[in-house]
Amino acid sequence: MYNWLLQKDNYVPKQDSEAFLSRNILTIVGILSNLRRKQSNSTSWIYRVNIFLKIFFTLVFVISLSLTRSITYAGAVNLYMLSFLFFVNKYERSRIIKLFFSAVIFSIVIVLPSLFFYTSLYNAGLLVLRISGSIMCVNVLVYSCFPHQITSGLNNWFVPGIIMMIFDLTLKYIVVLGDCAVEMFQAITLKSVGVNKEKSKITFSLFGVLFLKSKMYSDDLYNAMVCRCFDGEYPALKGKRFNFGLSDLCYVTLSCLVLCVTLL
Amino acid sequence: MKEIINIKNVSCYYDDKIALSDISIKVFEGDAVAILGANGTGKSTLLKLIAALIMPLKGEYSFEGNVVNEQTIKDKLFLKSIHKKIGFLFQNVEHQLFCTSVHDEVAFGPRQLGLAEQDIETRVKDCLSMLEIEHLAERVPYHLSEGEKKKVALAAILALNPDILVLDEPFNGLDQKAMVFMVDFIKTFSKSGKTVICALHDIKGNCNAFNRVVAISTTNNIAFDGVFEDFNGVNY
Amino acid sequence: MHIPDNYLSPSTCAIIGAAMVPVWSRCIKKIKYEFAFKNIPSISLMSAFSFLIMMFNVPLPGGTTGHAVGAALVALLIGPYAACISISVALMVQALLFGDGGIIAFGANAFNMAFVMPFAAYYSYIVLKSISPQKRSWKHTSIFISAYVSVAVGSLIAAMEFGIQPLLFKDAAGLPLYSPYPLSVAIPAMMIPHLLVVGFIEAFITVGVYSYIEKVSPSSIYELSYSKLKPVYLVLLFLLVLCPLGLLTTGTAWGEWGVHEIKNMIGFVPKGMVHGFSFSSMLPNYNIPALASKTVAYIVSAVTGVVLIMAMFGIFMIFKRTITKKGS
Repeated sequence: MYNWLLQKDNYVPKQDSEAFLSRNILTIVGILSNLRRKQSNSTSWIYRVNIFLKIFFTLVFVISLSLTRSITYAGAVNLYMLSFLFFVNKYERSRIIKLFFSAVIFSIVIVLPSLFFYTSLYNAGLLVLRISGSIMCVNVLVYSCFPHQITSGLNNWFVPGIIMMIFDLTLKYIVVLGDCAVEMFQAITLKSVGVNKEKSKITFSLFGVLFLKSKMYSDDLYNAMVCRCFDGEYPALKGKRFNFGLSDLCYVTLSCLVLCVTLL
Repeated sequence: MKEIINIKNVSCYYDDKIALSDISIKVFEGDAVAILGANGTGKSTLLKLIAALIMPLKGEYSFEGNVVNEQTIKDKLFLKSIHKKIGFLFQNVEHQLFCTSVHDEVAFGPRQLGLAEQDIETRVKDCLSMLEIEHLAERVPYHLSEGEKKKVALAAILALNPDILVLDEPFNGLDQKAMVFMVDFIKTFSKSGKTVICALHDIKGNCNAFNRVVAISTTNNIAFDGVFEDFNGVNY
Repeated sequence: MHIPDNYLSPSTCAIIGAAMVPVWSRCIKKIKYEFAFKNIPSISLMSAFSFLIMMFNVPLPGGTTGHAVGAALVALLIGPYAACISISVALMVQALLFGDGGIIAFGANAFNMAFVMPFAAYYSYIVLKSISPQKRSWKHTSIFISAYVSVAVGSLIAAMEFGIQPLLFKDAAGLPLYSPYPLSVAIPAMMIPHLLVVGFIEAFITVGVYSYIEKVSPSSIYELSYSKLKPVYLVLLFLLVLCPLGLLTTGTAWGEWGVHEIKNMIGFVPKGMVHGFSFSSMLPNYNIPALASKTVAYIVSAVTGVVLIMAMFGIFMIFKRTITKKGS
């Protein structure tokens, strides 16, 4: 052992900004926790609604919102989506509320200057409600389901099997690469004991390592698939039998009622 | 002996599962502690807790008498001083290597300490020679073998002159020669008065490197905490 | 640069989405030819990589941080065709699982970020690098410029998509139904921040990451092949940019006179022309009234025409494939 290792360093840490490390870790952990959400013990009816119906009505609402010229209908869809807050879990509720307010504030900021020259208050209000409504529709779908349900739901929508496979594998490897990225950022945090003059270089190295890992994982995955007799075909998995229950009836009825507002 | 780590009734969760349940451990200066446990018993979680990468949900963790929790680590200088004193080797060492040469990898830490360039070069040379990897100085860490990567990661940590070495399964993926080298290194490091904490699956081949054993049971609590001589195939 | 739903009309989104069909189809054919069926895992992994690149916060000189789109970087690392598919999948994941970027606007987002940006980066890099292929410093300069160009072109296309909304989609009172800002506002509003800030961030990140990978594992980078650059695309781009030359000519081409011009020429308007078929188009005489500059209006009309042709071709291809499948 060398002398300097046997002596204690009288080191006084210096202040340096490493906020990007904790920000990146929080962002990735947020993404991973969203993708890792599992079926909870919640007995709320919204989680039991068939995914096929949820995807169908989400698409119907998003398309109808983009076509509507009625501020009443746009408001009704917003209120309907907000009503789901009473039926989702705490984590999902906080996420949906955050996203709703961000969507409203962002669209108001974008549209506000146009009020002076280009549009009327009615049209501006309609645009804001449309934007927030469509964001809410998609996020209610996302947060009232779990990621594996959405991918299995897409199977029922005649999406080619090979696209589903790519989609599925992408989700899995976002989690794998995300975990690697979190560990790498933690490793950089552990080594950031002083003033780091090469912050951007380190982040570029991290991106580079992630790219090289992606290549390595893709070769390994291909070899694993070949070893299990993969021949390029990916037959879509048969979905569960469609059982139309009370929750499905409730959901369809309420959605149709809201759609009828267009007729008013 | 000076107490440096005090974990009191700590519980941690990982992915909605209990990772550690009501754990209490004290580590003193100069200890060479082997933390044993089956897969999923929370060894890595315990090491990350010690390195202040995760915070306890219940209980208290103190490092050198200072409480480490979500409030205290908001002081970035305090957190940096912990990271300077604790050298952590990940289970997957690839995640710790991000420079384009072994030399730069080892020099990364000392450069941040504000040392003179000559001192940095001395430290790099000494660390590479201690771990017998001087011939790898200009190689790209990404392309090295598992054992070589472990040595490079360890050299990079040693260059910061930590007081405590925390190693997560350091013998995984090593051949016999590298394993013997690692055991000798741990013995030398702890004999010089520094502290070593190692997470392991099994202690059989490495028994003379450690003076203390902490075994975590499958229910995520402590099954055994004592000197190595008293640990005689305790069930954990 | 993600466009949420309802900023663009559904018909704009549908047309641009249809225009992407031949692009995706071509990219899949190219990848299949180059990588056989190894491409499935590699596309998924590259999609995951593209997704994560868009999420990271990169520290920049001056103490600030920024995000990258990553389109140029991915195009230079794995080629523009694989980049197009990978980024499209990443955008689909963002839209369906994170509600980021619209569902109806997916086609438009894919057009801007998965098609325009990677191809603009790749081909501008090829052209620039050919000036001095051996010099390493020029290589990095070319990467910087091509990443910047990709952001500039991507933001211009996005701005045009926003800017034509008030022209084409209005209510009975003539007020815009979707994005309310005309081209004269949308183009500077989108392009100024992208040219002054975002472009440089993207270029900086692209050069940084590319340099690291070049040092550590140069064989992982997609091999650029100059001979594969088809001249026809360069010719198309050249013609697109030069089309306003027509404005230099005065008068109207023979046989294309309007009713008023005929009256001035011969003193009367033939009966068949007075009560004949009349049609008012969306962009009469390739002119856009809201735009002060006729040159810009000409180019916008040309780009609109090219996109519409690609869309029609895309729809034709879907139709043909459906009929072929039914037949077999």
